[in-house]
Amino acid sequence: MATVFIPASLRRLCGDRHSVEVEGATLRQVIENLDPECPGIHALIVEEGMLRPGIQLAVNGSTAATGLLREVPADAEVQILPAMSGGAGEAPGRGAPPR
Amino acid sequence: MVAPAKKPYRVVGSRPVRPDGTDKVTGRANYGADIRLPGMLYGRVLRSPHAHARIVRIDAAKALALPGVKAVITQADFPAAEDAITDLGETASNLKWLVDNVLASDRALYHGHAVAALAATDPHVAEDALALIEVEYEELPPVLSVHEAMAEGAPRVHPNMHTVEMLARFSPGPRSEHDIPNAASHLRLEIGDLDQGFAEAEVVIEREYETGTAHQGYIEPHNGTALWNESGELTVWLSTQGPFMMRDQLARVLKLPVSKIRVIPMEIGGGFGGKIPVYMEPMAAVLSKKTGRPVKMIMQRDEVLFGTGPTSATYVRVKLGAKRDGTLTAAEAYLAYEAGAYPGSPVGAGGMCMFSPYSVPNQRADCYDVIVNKPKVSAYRAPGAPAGSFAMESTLDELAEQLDIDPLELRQRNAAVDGTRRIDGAAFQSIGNEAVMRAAAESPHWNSELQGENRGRGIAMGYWGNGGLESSAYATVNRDGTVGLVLGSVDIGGQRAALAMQIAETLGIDYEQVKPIVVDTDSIGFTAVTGGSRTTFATGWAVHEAGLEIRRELEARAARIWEVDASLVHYDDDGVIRGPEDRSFTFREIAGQLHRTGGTVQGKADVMPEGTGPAFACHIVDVEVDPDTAKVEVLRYTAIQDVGTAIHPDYVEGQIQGGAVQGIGMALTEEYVYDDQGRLRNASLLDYRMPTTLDVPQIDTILVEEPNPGHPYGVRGVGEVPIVPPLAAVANAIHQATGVRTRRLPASPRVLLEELLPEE
Amino acid sequence: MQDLRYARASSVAEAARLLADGGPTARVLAGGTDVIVQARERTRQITLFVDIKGIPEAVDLRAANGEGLTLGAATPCHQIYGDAAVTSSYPALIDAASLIGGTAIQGRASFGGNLCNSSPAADGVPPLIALGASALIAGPGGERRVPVARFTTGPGQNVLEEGEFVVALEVPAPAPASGARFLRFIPRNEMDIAVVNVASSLRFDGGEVVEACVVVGAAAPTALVVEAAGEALVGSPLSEESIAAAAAAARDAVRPIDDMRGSIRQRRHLAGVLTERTLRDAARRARGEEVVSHP
Repeated sequence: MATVFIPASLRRLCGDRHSVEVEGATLRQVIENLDPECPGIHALIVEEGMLRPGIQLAVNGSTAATGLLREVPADAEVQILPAMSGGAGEAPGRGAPPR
Repeated sequence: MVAPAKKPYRVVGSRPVRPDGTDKVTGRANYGADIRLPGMLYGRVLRSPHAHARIVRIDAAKALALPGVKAVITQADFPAAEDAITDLGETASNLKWLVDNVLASDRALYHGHAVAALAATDPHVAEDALALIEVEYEELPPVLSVHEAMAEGAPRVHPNMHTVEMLARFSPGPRSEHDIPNAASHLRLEIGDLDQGFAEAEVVIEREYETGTAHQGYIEPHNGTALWNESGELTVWLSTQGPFMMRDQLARVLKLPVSKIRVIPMEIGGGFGGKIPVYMEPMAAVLSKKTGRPVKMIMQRDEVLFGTGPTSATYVRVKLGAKRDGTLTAAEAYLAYEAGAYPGSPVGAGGMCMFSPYSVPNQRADCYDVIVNKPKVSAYRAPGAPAGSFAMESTLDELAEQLDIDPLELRQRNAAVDGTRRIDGAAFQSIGNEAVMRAAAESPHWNSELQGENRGRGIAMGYWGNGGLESSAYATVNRDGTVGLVLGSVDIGGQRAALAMQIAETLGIDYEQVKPIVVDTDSIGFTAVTGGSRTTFATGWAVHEAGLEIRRELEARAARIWEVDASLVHYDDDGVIRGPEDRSFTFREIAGQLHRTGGTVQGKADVMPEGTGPAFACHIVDVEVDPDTAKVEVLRYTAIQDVGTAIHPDYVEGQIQGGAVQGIGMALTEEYVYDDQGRLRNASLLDYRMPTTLDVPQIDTILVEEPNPGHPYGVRGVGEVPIVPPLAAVANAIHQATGVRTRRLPASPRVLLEELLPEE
Repeated sequence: MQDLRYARASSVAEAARLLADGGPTARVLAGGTDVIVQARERTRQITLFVDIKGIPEAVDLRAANGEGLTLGAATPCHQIYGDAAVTSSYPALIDAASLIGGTAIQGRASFGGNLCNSSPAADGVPPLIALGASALIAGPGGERRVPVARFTTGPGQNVLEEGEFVVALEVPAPAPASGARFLRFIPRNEMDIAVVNVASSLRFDGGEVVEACVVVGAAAPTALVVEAAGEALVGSPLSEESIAAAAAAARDAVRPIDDMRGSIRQRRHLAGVLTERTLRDAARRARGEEVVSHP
């Protein structure tokens, strides 16, 4: 089971829980399995099958470079991060680092 | 002072001469200003004299009639930005904001906002012609501070904008239940139970702080030369931290495929986060398309201050709860940062960073991104962190005083350690926070006695998360045993040297055998900006991987030459390839045989590494305050930082010293000054006062080297965190010297004198 | 930058002719540290620069013993503080010459240019006034001399008529038992404009102050001679009381503005602080003690 930490802004979707435990071998599976627990959260995180621009997920504190493809080890912690890449992520007119 | 490296490296940790050094000190290095092309025109920008005005009419007829003037453009000359923003703020697609910031559409939203641009055969003519463009404005009331902007009934800079709840820093979610005028977004960060935390507290302290608008102050102004040729291909020579980011922004604004755009990065004279957005580059492109000639644009110094993005002026309120022994039980912050005319302040990072050096079980930060009629802010070294930390570290100082605990001791008692959760819920791994505090406690500076009247010592911590992102690199083995190293990361702080050193270490060759070069966007894979303290880390990963590929290829080649199985050949860290029967090749030897044994060898890598190690810093400063003039003199300064492995210690120390000096500037002298109409009064480096060499002492550095386990050489980003602690460190020192708590920075003599003089 | 012409004069007469021909938009170019910036920023319309650095009298520097100092209008600061005779006899000028702009600026900037730019905050002007200097002016009508104290008439304004220019500054030889000091306040330690600056000069006779001059800059439309400060000092030995009275007189006399470089209250207060500090140092210099320009 992975423990997903729910950011304050999304806790109302999850019955005000701060964290939710779900199964999943990849972040894609984890977020899919999270949706029944927190209805609507999937649509806020995933867009057209990929992480929405500006969203970053972390596995055990490391920002997932491969996005939803990132493998999730057993008993991992998953965070939905306030992306903080400083100079690296900040272009006007562009929420996220460019693809 | 450098602690011994954890690993015996040959090249890493030495201090070789940088490859770009000679050309820079002799003036031969090529910057954007040096570009001269046949038939080149000179472009200039007309800027709004008002902070907020409707643009009723623009008439360029007289300007176009001036001999030598070839074209005038307004935003109407750009491809229409899809106006997906009928309900502003509820979509991540803010292309229109980007285009509007480059060149105003129907309204000018800040003093200095670009309104029109022109190109002429001669720079004097271009300048003369600006005055001939007639613009009719209808002035509108400006909104000039977060307080004004967020007040009930305040005029809305973007009438259709509503406060949205941010899912994460860059990701807007649903519309907020609490719509606040001009607050583009609200982000709440929270762990634990704040009410519980304050209930457990024996002491509660709440304070308010403000900081002024500060510019990055890079010495080279923005510049760009564009050539849009007859087959529709655009080439741009410019000064940027991110050529690919420039290419992508140009593609979006100009509606061109990226394959049609080639961005050639010139040497860069400073950026600090400010050379990432596009400003006049798209104008130069459109002017070139219109005239069929190359167009060069260079900002004047005042335009840099008027028209590019500084960092936010801020308001931060912080409330701490603690036990009598100093144990923090709760930490709460309210942060409102000016975004400028369009959303995107670094307020989320402010809320994210300010409590991070500490283990506090219950934390909350409410972060508001606030629109005002000022230039759209852009990144500036650890964007958003200095202001939040100023508030936290000042309040901690006051708490230490109240509880009669040594300020460093208080911080050590609450230090975040491996496993401590940050405000976003993530747990720290392998951090050097405690080691930094310990090094501070053991430093000669902290243990020296501060003597003399009107003097005080301050201390403060700082945190920054650092970045990873994409990097590409490739390396070619030359016949003479040298290696050409091709990079997509522009060199803004010694990266060519630091990257050449890492591949030299990987290959077991000398630094001098590696020739690094930074290339254009057609010549290498996507590489993210030089920024976010990511380049030595992430591009360092790439060059290491490229080096490993060369090692594998050379092992295979040696095996083929020796006619043995490749598994019997090993490339050792000393750069010697060894096989059975004591056979060996030095790197130089095998390089000389490549062309006769199957051709050259290249290694390449495209990486997007995880495992960025966060950075912690502790700064100690002694000041003397003239009681008659309120002038603050910085007497002694020591910056202690966990730098992971210092690849090139000179440049690590240089980054720390530079960051500290910029922070001292924010603390004491640097600030945009506006009049009540929102006109910027000090758009020059005379009156926008950055510290000079006479204003700061030698910045002593103590490098704590806790190698980052997430990098082959233990690299942590080092460039950003040193700007975080100085604001509070200086303010805390001023308090000790004068008894005055400066809750608004900069603590200029004018402001501080009011505190020192008796009330009138 | 405006498109403009440049002419180099090799004699006073030639410069006068070039200026006359150039009309009201011709400007003298000495060090250029103000006028080139003005041309670049278009804050002043300039069509012709007449460079006077080729005129021997304009780059003169003579400090003959007992005969006073002749300072060419275009003589740069670095040459002034590099001159042993000026350094020893006119240290208050060195106080100013060594802090105008920064080292690079001091290679070009001149007292004559500083005076003719006529900024209320000019650092060269208060010490010239405190030392009783005059400006030697040449023009179509020949030569005339104007005391520096009466040269500037308002911000950016002065007594020069069309075609006239300052050739040199003449500073009387220092009297025995006299001393002067110039200080300014800026938020940084270089490359800045005075929030307030003050020059004071004192002459003693047998322990009593017999002449005193306090000049405050950046606190009125022109550098201000505080007559009441002089009156508070003359006729008695220098004391804490008389220094305080002079400082109070300076605070009362100034008419500062509130702008981004300083507030009214700050400027008024600093006028008093710097008056006190300059008087103490001037007295030490009068006693023959060394006071370093910028410790």
